[in-house]
Amino acid sequence: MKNFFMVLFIGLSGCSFVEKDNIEEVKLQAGADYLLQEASEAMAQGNLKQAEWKLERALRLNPRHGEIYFFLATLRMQQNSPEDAVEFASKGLRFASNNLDLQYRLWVISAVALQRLGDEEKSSQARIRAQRARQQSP
Amino acid sequence: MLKIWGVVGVVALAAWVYHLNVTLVTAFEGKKFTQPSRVYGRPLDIYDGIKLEKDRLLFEINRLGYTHNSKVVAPGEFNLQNGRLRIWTRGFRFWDGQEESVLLTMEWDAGVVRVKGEDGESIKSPLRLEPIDIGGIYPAAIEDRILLPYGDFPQLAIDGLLAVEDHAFFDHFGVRPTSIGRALLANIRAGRIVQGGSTITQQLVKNFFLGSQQTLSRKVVEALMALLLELQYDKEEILETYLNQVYFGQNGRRAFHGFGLASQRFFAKELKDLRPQEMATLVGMLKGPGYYNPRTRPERAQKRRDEVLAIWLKAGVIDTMAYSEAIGTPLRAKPRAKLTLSKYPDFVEMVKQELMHQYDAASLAGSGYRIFTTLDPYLQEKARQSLTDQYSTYASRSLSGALITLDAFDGGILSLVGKHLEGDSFNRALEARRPVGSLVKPFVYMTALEKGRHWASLVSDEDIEVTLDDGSLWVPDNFDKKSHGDVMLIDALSRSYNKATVRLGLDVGLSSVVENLYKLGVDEELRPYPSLLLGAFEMTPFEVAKMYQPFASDGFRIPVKSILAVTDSDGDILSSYPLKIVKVVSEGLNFQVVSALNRVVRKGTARALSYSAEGRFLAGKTGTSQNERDSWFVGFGDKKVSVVWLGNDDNKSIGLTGASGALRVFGTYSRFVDHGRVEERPPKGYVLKAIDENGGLLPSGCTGEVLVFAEDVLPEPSSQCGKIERVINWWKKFIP
Repeated sequence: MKNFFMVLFIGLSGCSFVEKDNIEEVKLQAGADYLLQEASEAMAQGNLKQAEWKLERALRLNPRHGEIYFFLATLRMQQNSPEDAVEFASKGLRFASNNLDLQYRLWVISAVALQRLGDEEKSSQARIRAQRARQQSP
Repeated sequence: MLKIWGVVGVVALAAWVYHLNVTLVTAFEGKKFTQPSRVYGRPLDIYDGIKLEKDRLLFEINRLGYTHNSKVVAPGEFNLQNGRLRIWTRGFRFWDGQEESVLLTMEWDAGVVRVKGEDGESIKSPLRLEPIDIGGIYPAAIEDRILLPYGDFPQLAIDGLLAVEDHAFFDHFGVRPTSIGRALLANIRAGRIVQGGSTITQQLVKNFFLGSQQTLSRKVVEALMALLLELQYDKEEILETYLNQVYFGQNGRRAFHGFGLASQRFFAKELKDLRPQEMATLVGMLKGPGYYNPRTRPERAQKRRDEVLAIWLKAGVIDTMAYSEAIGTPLRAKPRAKLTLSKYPDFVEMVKQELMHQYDAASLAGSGYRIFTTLDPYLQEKARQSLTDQYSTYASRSLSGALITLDAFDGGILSLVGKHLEGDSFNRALEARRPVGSLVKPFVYMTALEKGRHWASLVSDEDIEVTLDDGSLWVPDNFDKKSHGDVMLIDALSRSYNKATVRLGLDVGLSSVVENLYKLGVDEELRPYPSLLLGAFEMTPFEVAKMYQPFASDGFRIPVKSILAVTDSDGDILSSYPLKIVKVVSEGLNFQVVSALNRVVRKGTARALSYSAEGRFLAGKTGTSQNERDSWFVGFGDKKVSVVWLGNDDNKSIGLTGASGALRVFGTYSRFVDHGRVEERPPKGYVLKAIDENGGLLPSGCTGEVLVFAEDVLPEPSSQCGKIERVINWWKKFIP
């Protein structure tokens, strides 16, 4: 199961870190992006605690960075906490209004987490939202 | 007979030696590892492009004891010239890894800092300064030290110490008969004790077990214990214990031990970073820590230091070049900071209480744990300063207060002030339970919105009488003692009308309001009396902050925390506290409440805040309890939420409302502390619409008060434009 999330994570996180349409934001996010990078490396190596610390530190530097919430949601799935994953994905969506690619990934992780929780109805709603985001994506 | 006495004597001697040995081993094992736990504030991150004010950084490096030098040549030094800052960080072991010591150059450029490394390359990956030491957790008898393992002592400390105190340490077995003989002879000649002749091992035994009294029998016991110690422990272990144990002075109840702490205390540096002249000063102090104190007795200390340097040169500890560079240089001891057990007792005591649930008191006070907390020392000092300013403005009243700030994203306590000064046993931020007054009102209105009302819905503010369960009559009144007829919910909230609020609350149901209060973070049991709708129940400032935090955090409740992680003295992690969030208010509902609380700042009881450029982007609520006993203000943006309470410890009236007291403290505080700004764009499914003065939805193109509505809960449409248009149209009649 853990491997499944790893594959999902690597597949989904291959997308860009920053919101391309907002240059000013990109500049400000520089510090947090480096920590995100380190966190993703730690996750890939299975060092989940280290990844968690890096992500929380990144969040302190840039709390409106939607990507951090995507990573936190993925991490919680790996840590076997789908409830927390749903919450982080939900919060991440607040900061993803201009980023369809991120919206797609957050809805996917949300769908997977909800399915794990046995909430088929909400999970399929999340899947539909994911599809919609993907279709709208340029 | 003689034989029997001989055997008895030998047995008695053996028993005594055995007893001595047990005492020695027990005490040595127990004592050598005792060190208080240290509590650290939140570290400052630095990277190229960070938004960081110069004053903020200078505050940090000043608190960390960095020395200003014209040339930065060692860790712990900085130089600020022509707006360019060069700093050599010290490096630090955090719970999540080691931060290396680096030489940085920083320049401020259009609001951001350009940070470069020694090689001129931009530092993109964030690095952290050391965290500020904000206090310690001490045993009853306070022996303070920074425990270092043998491998962390620089060779200069070891060689330098031995050259002066015991050059044959690695060759003897605990005592040196020749030295004792020499000392004995000198003492007999002088007729008093003039020479010790003790080895390091003997000195350690004396420090641990025997005190300073020097009698012949004591000397014998000392020598015997030194022998026993050497038999059971290796030289490195004995030396390590000595280096950590040796006494360096006292401040009140706090005794300073060991080279690690002495280095920080006198030179604000790690021991490994000391220059030879600084190390020599410390070694010189061992002869008499008070007598050769470099701060209070600089001339003596310098003379003694130069003697030590001369011994080192002779013994080959340093070479001629190092000697000539060091000799005669000024002492450069750091001026003594105001030494208290904690600079931030309000916060540190709370941390201690929290840790007591997890760790036993003895381990906390003696195992050298390192506790990494959420406190931002800069905010803490600004919080205290803002409260103190208010106390001096109203010097004639006996005012007390509290201020607490939470991080809206991770729930960390960034500042917490609740005591007047160290030793004040009452922490008002955590313990002052006071009626919250109007602070409860947003939760009443939130419940009404949830149940289908909108901000333009009308509610009567006429007189209201409520018959209570015991048959008595409760007649709430407004602060201005007037009734305001039918008012829109938004006005009733921002002007804090009591009668309208009670009517609305009873209408939507007390139990629903209480349920929402629990959902947002109230832990205490609330009795659903009607007076609850006007805040006639008690909460501490800390609990109020918790209750408001979800509004600042997009409707997510985040458990409040003061500790990020705890490690043991070796830096290995003992516990960490991962981030958790729970959605408790839907995005749209939260947006509606926050925008109304922003209106309180723009047009309502907290409008004084809107006079500053950033203030108008904040949300807030004032609160005043009956007879002006308590003055409250909660203010927040999307980054932080702060609660200010002013009152009197004996619960007498302070004659201040939320707006005239607590709001002013917040106003001062928010000039230094960025609370962020509230979101202005409504989420999906919500729209901004103009309404007329009666709450009717204006046709598009009309000008009126703009409020947020759920797309499916809109006011009744109004057929004509509002007051402004009517005035314009009236004037238009006169214009051809």
